[in-house]
Amino acid sequence: MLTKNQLIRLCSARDQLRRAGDEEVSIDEVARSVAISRFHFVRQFKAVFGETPVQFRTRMRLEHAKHLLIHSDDSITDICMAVGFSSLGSFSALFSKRFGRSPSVYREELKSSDEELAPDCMTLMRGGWERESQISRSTTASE
Amino acid sequence: MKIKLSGIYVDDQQKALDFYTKILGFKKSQDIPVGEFRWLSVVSPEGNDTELSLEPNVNPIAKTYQEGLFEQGIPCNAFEVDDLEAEFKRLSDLGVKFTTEPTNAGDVSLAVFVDTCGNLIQIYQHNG
Repeated sequence: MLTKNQLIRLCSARDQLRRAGDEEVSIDEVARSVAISRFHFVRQFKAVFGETPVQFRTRMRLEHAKHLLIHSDDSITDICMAVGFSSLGSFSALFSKRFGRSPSVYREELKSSDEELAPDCMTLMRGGWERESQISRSTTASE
Repeated sequence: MKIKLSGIYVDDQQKALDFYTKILGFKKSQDIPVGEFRWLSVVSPEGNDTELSLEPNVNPIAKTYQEGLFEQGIPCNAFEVDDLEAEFKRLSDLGVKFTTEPTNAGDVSLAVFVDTCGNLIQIYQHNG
């Protein structure tokens, strides 16, 4: 059973990892700050948030990179370093794996479209229906 | 007017789809790419055709709302089950973490678990 106190401590650890983001804060350090042994911390974090602390931190760094790609003119290499990666190769590979396109393609697509950056349910639904009807129209036209 | 669609915010749509299908046992209904996100929904395999959409919490307001409920221990949605004790055992065996074990609350018995996507979910069984 997960107590309220444990839940709050894990949320605090998650917030620390998110805030630290680009800095190299050790998992040991975060675990210590919420008074949980490293072993239990990693296990409990994964059980509650569905990913390990390292996976969570990597995801946050990639999300930060996305933001910088859209809202800054910094080079891909500068963004890679700014969000805490030391290798452009691993940054690009992780980014592509997660978002299905390279950082440069992502930047190009998002900057040239008027797509909503923070969609809500209805935006997604509208987009989905428009996409479906386009597919349906093109299928009908080719028949 | 009917209630056919409800939604919850999730911190990662793929992780949510895995949890809601592989752990909870729902079926994927809609999965349509919309830019970098998806119009993604699941339904119960037990014949109820109400859809639950798994919405990205990228909107900062959604994230604040979701995290606020979570940290206060408040469930964001509730699902009915036939046998609460059996479902509690099944999910616990799969590694799901509960914040409230099966508890009699009068007309219903309920339990609360973490969905690994930033939410607490209540499951309940009608008593009697």
